[in-house]
Order: sequence, then structure tokens, then C-alpha cells
Amino acid sequence: MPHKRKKILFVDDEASLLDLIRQLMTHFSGGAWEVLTALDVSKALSLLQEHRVDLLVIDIHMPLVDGLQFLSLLQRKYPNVLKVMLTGDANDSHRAACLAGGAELFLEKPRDEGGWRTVYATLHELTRFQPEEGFRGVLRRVSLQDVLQMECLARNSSILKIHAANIHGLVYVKEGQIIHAQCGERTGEEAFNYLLGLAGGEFDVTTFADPPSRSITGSWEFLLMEAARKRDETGPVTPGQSDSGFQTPATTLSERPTPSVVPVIEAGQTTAQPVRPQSQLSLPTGTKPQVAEFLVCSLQGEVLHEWQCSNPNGRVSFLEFLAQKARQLTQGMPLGDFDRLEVNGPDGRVVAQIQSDRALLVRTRPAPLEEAAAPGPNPVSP
Amino acid sequence: MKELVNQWFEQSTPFLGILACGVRHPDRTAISKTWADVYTEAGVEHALGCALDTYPVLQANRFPPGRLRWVYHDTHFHCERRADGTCLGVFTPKDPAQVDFEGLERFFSEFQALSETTSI
Repeated sequence: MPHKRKKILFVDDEASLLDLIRQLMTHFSGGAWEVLTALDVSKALSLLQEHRVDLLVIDIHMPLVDGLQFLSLLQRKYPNVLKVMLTGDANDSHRAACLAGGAELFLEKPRDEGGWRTVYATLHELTRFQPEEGFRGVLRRVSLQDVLQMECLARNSSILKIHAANIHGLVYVKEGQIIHAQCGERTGEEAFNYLLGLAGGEFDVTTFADPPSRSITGSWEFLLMEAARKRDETGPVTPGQSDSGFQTPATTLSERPTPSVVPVIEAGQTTAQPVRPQSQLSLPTGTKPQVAEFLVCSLQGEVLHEWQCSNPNGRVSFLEFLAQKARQLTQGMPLGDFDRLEVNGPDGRVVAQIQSDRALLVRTRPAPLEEAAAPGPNPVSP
Repeated sequence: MKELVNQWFEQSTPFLGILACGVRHPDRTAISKTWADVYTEAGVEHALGCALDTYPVLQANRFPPGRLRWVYHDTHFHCERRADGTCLGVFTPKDPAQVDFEGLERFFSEFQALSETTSI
């Protein structure tokens, strides 16, 4: 199978140096690298949006926004892209600042071709050990929701294989969209909610293959929110074993803490069910919730995704207000960390969630069943 | 109306799972009850103030009016506001198995149904 060309982006304010780098690196890599170059940060950001860059090599001394400032921005916006700092003025303070800022390597600009060959070999080694697909690094205390969210935000394609006791389930993610889930006889959202509600087990992220059918069309944000809500309302599903977390062969992964009373819900098993909230929390008969808008933003207020938001800035302001108010509300009381605000009414529902690194807002409205069933636009398509 | 709401609130019977509750009036006065030592009346009344601050922001965002549920790691805080601006807030555990949701619904329904003609 042919290897995909690595995309390496060099950022430096010296055009002649960039030309030299492009020629040398293309030559050294034998065409295995697609060498991209940018004379400033703005061009680099533009290229990052257009290309899936494997490695960024950044000069420290640049006008307007220097390499260190750019590194800090990249850490927030592209934390998974490998970053190497390259400078003609190597000193200990720069080295410390760059490595603390998230750079993998700190290299000195060479003065001859031999030196550039060494730089190439170093960068090549760095890229060589990165898997072309899937996760890199070790994840700790991460839930299924977190993994799915990462897959979707990165617009990856993968299959999550989930095992818990005698339960085996699959969740298909294609280009950042959750398109299918199955677990035994269950398929679609029913299977998805069931799997996300499991109290513990194991999961693996594997290479994508087309599912037998597409059973899920909604936005992934809404699916994850609904699964979390259902889990909160019914409690986690315990598949007949005492494991209290998801595990991968390499790493122990913990789910959210399990509530003290765990209703066991298994097919065909009679179990006392908690009473569901009624009246205002229920939708009118003959309707189904339909996503009217959603927005995901960073905690710095940057809109990461939005769909049908007529006023994204207003929504971001609302989420900022909510984060502040939710903190104030807890004063002196043992409520625990804030997760979300739900506004439930007959005319629709709003869920605003504040996470450790981002905030999410989903508004749904009741739609007649036939309208809700009709395929809608793909909310996260560019 | 304020006296009627207070009278209803004082006489209301707790349901399974209620940790604390309170009413805040449009004149910013409030009353509260708690069934758990860690929930103070001052804390409940402060929380009601925060919840009430949220309503105009929701309205400004043209979000549909309804019941608010603030979901925290350990606790849910449910709030409703009447048309006259009076707000009822209820704290319950997050674990649904520990909450009588019918009792919660009844509590909010009674609160919304209160009118000058209601006899308590």
C-alpha cells in the first residue's frame, strides 16, 4: 500500500531560506514530504485550515507575531500537530520556553547542507513514529463520550468497538459524523444511547469500514448530549459485572463516577425503573425533537463549530454568562462541578454545557414526526 | 399574592429526594426550607437569585421559556418562574432513583396553579 505523503509546514519570515528549505527537504525526502511554506503566521494558519499538516517547523524570530506566540496559539487550536522550533539564535531561555510551550523539539538553524540533512533526519524520525490514523499518546480518565467527541472534532473516520461482559457494540464515525451504531438487536440511536449508558467495559478505536447501513443522521453534539441526559435520567447500565470503568488493553480508562444506586436495565429483565419527569419535560404528542441550532466554542470564546446560529457571538456571550452564573450559584453548597443547564419547555429545549475545554449549546424544537424523520442537512459539513 | 405563595410554600409537604427548596419573589425577598444540613437557607436563596438573573438573558437570546435544570455533578437544581415573576427552586440528588419525580412535578404544578382564588 503506498504511503501517504507527509505534509510538513515551515514558517519563517525569510523567503530565500524557505526556498532553500523546500528544495532541500523535498530532495532529502525523495518526494515523500509535501513541503509547505509560509512567510508569516497568517499564511500558516490559512494553510493549516486547508491541509492536514503532520509537522510544523517554526522560526522563533518573526515580525508581528513571533514563533513563541504562534506556538501558544497552535497549542490551543491545533494541540495534536507536531511542532518544532527552529532558530538561528539558540539559547537556554528560548529552549525552555519553547519546550514548555508545547514544542516537541528545539533545533538550531544549520549553516551548511550537511546540517540541513541532520535536521531532515531528526524531523523524519519525529514524523516516522506517528501513526497515520487513530490516537497518539496515552489517555487517562477518559470516557467513551470524550473519545467520540475527539473523533468527531478531528473529523476522523473510525469504528469504536465496545465490549462489556456479554455485550458487544459498534459505533461508526465517518469524517466526524456518527453514522451508525449497533448492539445486538439494537441499532441507531437506541444502540448508541445504550452503549453510552454502560457503566463499564472495554473499547478500541479501529480502522473505519463502511457499516451495513446508516442508522444515525443527527448531529454528533446532539447525540452525545442526549445520551448523557438519558444516562443521567436512568442511571448507567451495568452489564452484570463489577467493573466500574472502561479499559483498553494498554491503559485504564475511567468513566464518570457511578451513582450510588445503579438501576440494572437488561433486555427482558424486570427492574424497577425511576419515574421519568413528566409534563414540561415531555414533548407534545406526535412530535420528535429536531435540532434547530448548535454551537461549540472554546473557553476563550472562539467559535469552533456552529450550525444555523443566527447570532453566534450572542450564543458565546450566553455561554460565558452561564459559566459565571453556574459558579456563583454553587457558593457555599456541595453541588459538585457544573455540567450543563437545560431549559425544557413545550416550545423547545436548550442544552448549554460547559466542559473543561469547550462549551456547547444545542437548541431543539418539537417537529411533527414525519418532518423530523425527513433527512436534514448535515450540520457539520463545511 | 406573595402571602398566598408563602402560605402554600410553608404548608407544602416534601417529596422523596428533595434536599432543599425556596421561593423568591419579584421584590427579591425569599423563603426557603432545607432537609439536608449542608444546604443553608442563605445558600438556597442565593441560588434562586442566580437562577432569576438567568431568565432575562434567556429571553434576550429568544430561548423558549420553560423549566430550568442546572445539572451539577452531585445535584440537580430545578427552577420555574411564574408569569408574575415569582420563582420556585428545588434541589434534588442527581441519582434519579432517589427522586420522586411525580412529587416534583406536582410541586411545580401547584406552584404554577396558585392564584388569588386558590384556597390553602
